[in-house]
Amino acid sequence: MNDQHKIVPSPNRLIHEPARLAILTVLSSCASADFVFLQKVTRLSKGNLSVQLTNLEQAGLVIIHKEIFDKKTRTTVSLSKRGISEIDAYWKIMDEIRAHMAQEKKHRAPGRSVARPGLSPELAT
Amino acid sequence: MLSTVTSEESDSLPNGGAPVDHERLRYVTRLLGAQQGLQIALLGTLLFWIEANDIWHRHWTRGWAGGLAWLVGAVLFVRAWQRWIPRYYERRFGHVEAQEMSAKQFVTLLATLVALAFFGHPVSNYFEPMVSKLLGRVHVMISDPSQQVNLFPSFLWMAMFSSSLRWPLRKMERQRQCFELAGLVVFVSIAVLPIWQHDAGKLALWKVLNAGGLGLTFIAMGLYDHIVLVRALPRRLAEGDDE
Repeated sequence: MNDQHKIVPSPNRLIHEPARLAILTVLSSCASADFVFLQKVTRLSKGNLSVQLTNLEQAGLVIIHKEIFDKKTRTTVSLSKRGISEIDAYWKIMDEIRAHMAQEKKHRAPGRSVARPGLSPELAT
Repeated sequence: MLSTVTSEESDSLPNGGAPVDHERLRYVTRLLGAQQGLQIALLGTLLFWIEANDIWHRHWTRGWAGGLAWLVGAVLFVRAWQRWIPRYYERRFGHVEAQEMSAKQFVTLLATLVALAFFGHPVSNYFEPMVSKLLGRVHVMISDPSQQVNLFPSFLWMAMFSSSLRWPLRKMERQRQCFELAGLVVFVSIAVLPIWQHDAGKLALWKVLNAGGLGLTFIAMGLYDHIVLVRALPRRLAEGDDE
């Protein structure tokens, strides 16, 4: 089969959503992070972050742990084993898609300079 | 259609439409997890104080007043290191637990320590004359045969700058590299200043900058890391519980 027509795998849609992807990217760079840091670094609202974390927890990608620290509730989030493998797989797929699109663009590029039927070479360029 | 965001590119968040730089997210997370800039700056202040103390020759640092000053300083240092700075970071930026060392890294570290324990002494004995000869030559090159110029800070900045040289560089890494280059230029300038200004070596300011170079390096690095975090993470919106 031609490389151009090979089937490109599709990424996990749950992870592909930008807010969730940002959360998972942060968590993949540390052992765990608390709610305050996640909110600041992703710049999500408290409500949105809470909803996204619940979705990720329900999907088994993150583990949420609550504790009392300095007389306040501290919510700590970390990636589950499944979450670690899913985010790794996601970036691999995205890199594959990117490589595939670059290759496709490369194949298409010479066609652009070819004059379309019915047009003069000056107009075609 | 799916967007083709990659590990090197940006995406956007639906709530504000602001672009999300995944490299920035990783960089800031690792930075907060690895060290607290103000602690490094505090350590630098202590080093600078110790290094520069011999130059100042303040007489209040001796006798009972000196002892009291050292005691108060030590208490404040420990208090700030253990309580004030970690608490400030916790409130201001949140909490990040750094990634644990991988098995490969642990084995490498262990092997290095074992190798140093067994072969460190003979290896240092072997290289010591060569290093002193090389350093002697550098001192002669900068017209400092009496070896008064402290070259260690310049070497440290050079090592930091060299270790950050790689390709491709992300935006935040580029900024750090520029900072390290600036630091290298400053400390090399301090080291070679007596070549052009022969009287510079007699100036108290030059003596302090030369002697306290390591402390100043730590202060600069710590403050830089802290400023990066302050710029990357906006202030907390509301006080109280985190949810």
